[in-house]
This record gives sequence, structure tokens and C-alpha cells, in this order.
Amino acid sequence: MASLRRSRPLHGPGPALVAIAAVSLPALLTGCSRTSLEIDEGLALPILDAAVADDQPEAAIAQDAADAAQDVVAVVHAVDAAPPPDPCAVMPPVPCPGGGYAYCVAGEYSACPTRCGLCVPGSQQVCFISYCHSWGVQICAADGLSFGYCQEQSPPSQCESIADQDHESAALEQCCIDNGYCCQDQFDLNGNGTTGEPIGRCSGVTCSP
Amino acid sequence: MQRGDVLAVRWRLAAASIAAGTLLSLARDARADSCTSPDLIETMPPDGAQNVPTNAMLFARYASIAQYLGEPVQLEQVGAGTATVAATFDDTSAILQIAPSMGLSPGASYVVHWPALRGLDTATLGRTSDLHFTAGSAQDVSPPTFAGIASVSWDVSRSTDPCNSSIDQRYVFDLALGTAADDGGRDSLALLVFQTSGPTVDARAPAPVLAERIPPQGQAAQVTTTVASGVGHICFAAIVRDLTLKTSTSGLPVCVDTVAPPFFYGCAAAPPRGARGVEGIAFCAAGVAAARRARRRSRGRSARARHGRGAR
Repeated sequence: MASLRRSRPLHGPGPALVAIAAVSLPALLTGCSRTSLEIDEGLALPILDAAVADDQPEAAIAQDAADAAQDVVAVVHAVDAAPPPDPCAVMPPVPCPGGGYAYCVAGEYSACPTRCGLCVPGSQQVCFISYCHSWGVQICAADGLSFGYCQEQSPPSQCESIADQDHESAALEQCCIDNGYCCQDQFDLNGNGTTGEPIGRCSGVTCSP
Repeated sequence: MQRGDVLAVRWRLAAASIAAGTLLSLARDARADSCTSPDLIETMPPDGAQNVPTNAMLFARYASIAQYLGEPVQLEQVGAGTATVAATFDDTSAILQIAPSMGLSPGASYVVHWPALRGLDTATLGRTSDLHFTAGSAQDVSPPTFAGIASVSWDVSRSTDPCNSSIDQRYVFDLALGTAADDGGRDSLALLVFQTSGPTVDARAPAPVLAERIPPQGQAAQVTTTVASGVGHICFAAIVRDLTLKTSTSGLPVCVDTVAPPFFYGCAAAPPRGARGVEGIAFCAAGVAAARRARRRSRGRSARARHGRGAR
């Protein structure tokens, strides 16, 4: 044990490890970064390597600079000759039925705006869960992008018997709708092929007017 | 002091503490109920603006739950009088706007008294404020120019929601903006951001995701999305709109590839961090060394344990 303690410091990596890390980690770390930026279309510009330029005679540098200038001029002329067409120049904003405008963005008309992403912040809808009461409420988040957890509550008296007999079911969802609540469409009662969206009397809950 | 006096004092103290507790609990309930409020958030032009074009419309953006029920909007020309002006409200962006019928008088100072609005399903009035500005001498005749979004970076946030107490996980995109300008002034422009690509976006109909006054020069705009709509190849484009509703072009969309959480945050020594990369490399090297040492110790312990068991 004593010889082990003497062989290298107790705290800190060995010199070989540090050397390996110093060489290999920069390459690894660029791959480690979880964020990357891509611009769909970029312009590649010529890069003059200063180290190479230092070794060249001045005449050669001047010739290269002249060539590079010609290249750049050629690029500029090409851009002047064929400016990218802007389809939005002939696509004015279009009024939307519910308010706001559809704007031309990157060559396409945008969707019409809505009040919120998913639900009106702070609003609530009825949800159905497999707990004792089979009935609950979930509240929309402050940014309007999602509902919170389904919190169990007692069902209203009109739906109590259905909740007792059928539990979490299409019948209970139908009872929710029939009694004027805004309800989570867990059983696709509107037949649109999707579940989870609000259904029933949902003015003040959904984002569309 | 008599015993009766002591008892009386104790009773008064008890009553006072019960009353204070009740008040505190009421205050807590009130805060829980008011997770959102139909407050006025910002105005276009901003308060204190100078040289506002004489043909400008004036805008106030409220919280998204605000609804307009015909509350009067008053436009005061300082030293000349106050008039109630017709207003229109856009439900989709919660923006209340007025257009002075005769335009603005060149060089005059104005105050707009924006009304306090109620929220959907609530009778509580939100906060409001007055807008002070000075008209310029010219009209806004040209559309704004805008270089579009320059770059996008992203992160994931986890925070407790004030409305439902759930932990919300969101992508937060920071959009660095290119140069914007307008003959009516940059600071009065509205920024409209659209998501042009993503799992929940129709590529042929970019989705509006943000409408607000343009941030100050050099400051990024921020877009928040759910994890479902922000994961993968995400692209944004933006336009700006001036006080006469003229718009700029959007430029090309700028994209970024996001990773679905949870993800490992380590080794964040990517090139954009600049000098911090060296510190990151040192940190990672130390981490690798520590992991190796721990593994070696663990092996040693296992060997000793095996040896110990074998000895028995």
C-alpha cells in the first residue's frame, strides 16, 4: 500500500492521462456539444492563410491577391446578375377569419395566428382517470402550451352513477359533454381520429375563438 | 397584574394570531388563483418614444388571456385636450390598437391612456399604464428592412408552473436578430417569428410562435415550445412590422437540431464558448481521471472482497 501511495499523487490524473486527454479531448468535445447551428444556405468565402502567406514572395502574394480580387468581383457580378427572387414581394398579408394576418414567410403563407399554443392559460378541462372517482380536472399552464396533471375530484351528481358503474369510459366522457363541461376527448367521441384535445363547451379553454 | 388581565391579554393575542393566519391564508389563495393576469405587457411605440411618424397607429400588447369589451381608449394631446378614439382588438395576439383619425400633429406630445382589461372567465382587471410619446414631423412611407434571424441556440428549461404546479419541460430558443431599420424608428417595430420546420409544423404553412416589440439592438428574442414541437430539425424565420402595418421580408429560415431530453450536459466545451473551452477541457480531463481512479479502486475492493469470501 505504501509503495502505491508513493508511485503518484493521491489527487489528480497521471501525466500520461493528462497528455492523452489534452490531445484527444478537443476533438471529442466538439462532438460532445449538444447544440449545433445550421444555416440552410451559406456563402463560402475564400480564406487567406496567414502562415502560408508569410512564406511566399511578395510578387506571388500580389498575384494571388489580384486573382482573389477577380474571384470576388466575379462572385459579386454573379450575384448582381441573378438576384434571388423574393416570392413574398407579390404576396401581401392576408386577413384571417379569426383575427390577425397570414404573412408570407420564406415564400409560403403562414398559418393564421391563435390566441395561445394549446389552451388558454389558467383554464381547466375535465379529465378521466382510473382512480376511485374516475373524474378529475387539469389546469392549463401559464404559457398556454400544456395541461398539468389530472387531479382527481368527485364527479358532478349527474355523472356519479356512470362513474361508479362504467368508471373511466366513453359513457362518462359523454356525460361530461352533455352536462356542459369542457372535457378531454379521451375516447375520440368527435371521431376525428385523435384523442386528448378539449371537447364540449370549451369557450375560454381552447385557443381558437 | 391580575390573573384576569393576563387571561384577557392571552385571548387578545390568540384572536390576533388567528386573524393574521386567516389573512395570510387568504393571501395565499389569492396568489394561487391569479396565476395569470390580463396585464398590459408593452406598447408600440415604447413609452417615451420621440419622432413617432405622424401617420402611426398605436399598439398595446396585453397578456394572452385579455379580452376587450369596448373599454374606452383615450388619446391626450398635451396642452390641447383629450379625446376617446375608436380601438380594435386582435384576439389572436391580444393587441389593442388605435389609429388617430386626423393623424398626429407634428412635434406634439401625446399620452395614451390604455384601459385595464379583464381576462377570459375572470372579472379581475389587469394592470395598465400610460404611453407617452412625441410625434415627429414626417410620415412613415417605407417598409422596414430586416436582415432576418442571424443564429439560433437552444436549451431546455424545467420549472414549476404557477397555474398547475406541474414541472413544465420546455425548449427555449434564443434567436439572434439581424439588423432592422425603419423610417419610423427601429424601436417601434413589432417582431413576428414563425416556426418553419418541426414535428408539429406544416412546412407549407409556417406557424406563428411569437409577436412582440422587437428587442433592443443586440438582444435576442426568445421562443418557448413544448418538447413535442421543439425536438429535431427546427427552423425559424421572422419579419418585422412598422407602425403603419408595413412589413419587411423574412430572409431565409435559420435552423438548429435539438436533442430530446433528458440528455447528458457534460463536456460542454464547444467552440462557441470561446476561452471557456480550455477550462472545460481541464474539467473533463479531471473527470476522466477521477472516473478511472474510482474504477481502479472499485476493482481493488472487488478483488479484496472476492479474496475475503474465498478465504472463508
